[in-house]
Amino acid sequence: MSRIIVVTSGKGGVGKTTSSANLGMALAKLGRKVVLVDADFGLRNLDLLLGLENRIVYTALEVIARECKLDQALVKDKRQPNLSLLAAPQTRNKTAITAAHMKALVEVLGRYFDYVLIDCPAGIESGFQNAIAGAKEAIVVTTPEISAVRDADRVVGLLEANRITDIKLIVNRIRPAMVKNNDMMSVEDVLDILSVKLIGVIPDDEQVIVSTNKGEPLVLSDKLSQAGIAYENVAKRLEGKEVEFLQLEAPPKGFFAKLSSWITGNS
Amino acid sequence: MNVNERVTAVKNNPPPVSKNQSSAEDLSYAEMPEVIVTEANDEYIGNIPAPLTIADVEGGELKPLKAEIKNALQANSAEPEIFQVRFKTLEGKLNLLLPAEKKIQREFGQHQSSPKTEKEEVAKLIQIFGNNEQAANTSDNGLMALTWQEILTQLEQRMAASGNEWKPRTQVYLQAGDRLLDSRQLQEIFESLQNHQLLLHCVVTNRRQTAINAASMGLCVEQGTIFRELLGFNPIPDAPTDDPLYIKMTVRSGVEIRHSGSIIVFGDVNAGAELISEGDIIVCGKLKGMAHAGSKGNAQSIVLASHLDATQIRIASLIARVESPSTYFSPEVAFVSQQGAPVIQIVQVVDYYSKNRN
Repeated sequence: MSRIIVVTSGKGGVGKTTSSANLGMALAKLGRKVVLVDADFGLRNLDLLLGLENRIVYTALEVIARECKLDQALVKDKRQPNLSLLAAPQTRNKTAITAAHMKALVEVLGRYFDYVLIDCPAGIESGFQNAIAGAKEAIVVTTPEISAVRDADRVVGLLEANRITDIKLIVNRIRPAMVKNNDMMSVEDVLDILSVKLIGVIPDDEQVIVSTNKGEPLVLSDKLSQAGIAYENVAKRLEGKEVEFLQLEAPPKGFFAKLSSWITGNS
Repeated sequence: MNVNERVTAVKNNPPPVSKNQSSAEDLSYAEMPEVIVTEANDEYIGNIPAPLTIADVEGGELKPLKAEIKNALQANSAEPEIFQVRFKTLEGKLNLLLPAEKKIQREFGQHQSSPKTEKEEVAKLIQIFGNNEQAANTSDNGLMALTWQEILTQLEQRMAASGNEWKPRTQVYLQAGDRLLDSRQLQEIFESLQNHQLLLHCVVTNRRQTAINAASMGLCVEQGTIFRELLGFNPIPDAPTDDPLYIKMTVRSGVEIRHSGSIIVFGDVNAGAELISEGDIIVCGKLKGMAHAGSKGNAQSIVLASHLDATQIRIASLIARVESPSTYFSPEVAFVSQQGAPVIQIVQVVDYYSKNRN
């Protein structure tokens, strides 16, 4: 039974696409057959993050218009053959397709893949309605900012109203030092408002920008950054494994500070 | 990647195959299934109010309010309105009420001819909150008529909130009133109800076309208007006109719950949500959203919450901004103090009752 999961947030720029790309890649590394569907018609980015931009010939629109076969439009990742991408058309906008089309499309994809991850556009208009049409589960991405959390709350409500009740939360771009100083909402604060199941906490990481520009998801690098490890853990949790949440702490203390704390006995 | 590779990629694709050749294992034959997108029928399109043109909005946004204000002020004593999707049990029958659509069109026709001289009057009316809050609300509903999608969303929310109140396979009487429903819409309501173990049994309507559509689906049809009892008509002015609405869920941002009786929420009311009640509002949970009790002007109404953390509270025609977040962990209540000038006060519940005893 394949799992059809929409990655959504309401607010833009919180890391939907980054999360989709890394989760897809991490699941593929675990041996699952994964297809990433970019539902952000007219503003596609997922292909860039995966570094697959130049290999796209057909998009979801041609598939829906029955101008090409599904496999012609699916771009297989050469680094990780378990992962495929179905790109969104860049030249059309969100009104090009209907929810019924999207539903039929992900249902067909579900027959061939273990995971169908749908990268949802920002906002709650028709693009959002289309993206969630065929989904059975949802991952809501938010950052610990009041605006992002407010929008996530709205999205959770809309998902529930659309009968998607299996909702999981990723809190992205946490900065432990700021949380410690009470300058940033903590994961607990976010959970207190949203009251949905937490599946991942991703620390703010400069490597994300590097990986986006290089077109190489974090989880592909040889030496995983903190964010990369966090995404791998999310994938494992999606697979039903119990994984401890990363102990995110302020940047490690210097050698002497460690030494003195070891001597005095307080860690 | 270069142009050559792209060309080869296209070439390598298998030639198109007919659909019956496809097999479950081989992805290369996978094809998009035929999707039939049903067009809404002409009659239905005819009933959607035309979008506001510049001419309608000209001279400020106040202009369209005019007609509605008049109506609302008159309507205070006349027919009550349904603003939202509602369930109501009457004489053992579970009724589903849909908001009316008729009103909106009539007003769209009206503001085009409304004379400009009355504009200032309207502005004045709006400045004084109170009664005109009601008017403003009505106008909101008039101008931003719920789309069909929003109605379905509301229906889902209401069923989720009242969850297991109804026995499985309870028969539902759909009170459509003057609303025109095509068979696709009836089917969608049927399916939504079915998902919550409810059975659409009968459609009560004024519209011939709706009746025909319902009958062709094999539903029982009754002609006639919505009972006044169902609308919760109460001749006593300002008093809440309906039974309390009991909601068991987290009311999230963007959800507006409007009810002509008291509202009781068992769950949190998040920031960005709105509760508007003609009676009291009681929240067993955190209240962070906006609450408006006694929206028709009943200043005796209260807002009570286990954790009152709203940034703004409205009772009748009064608005209170809450500056500092609540430091109490005990339930608090907001009410209109009757000593001196009426102001909204927030006290702990225990104090409220001891005060009111004296």
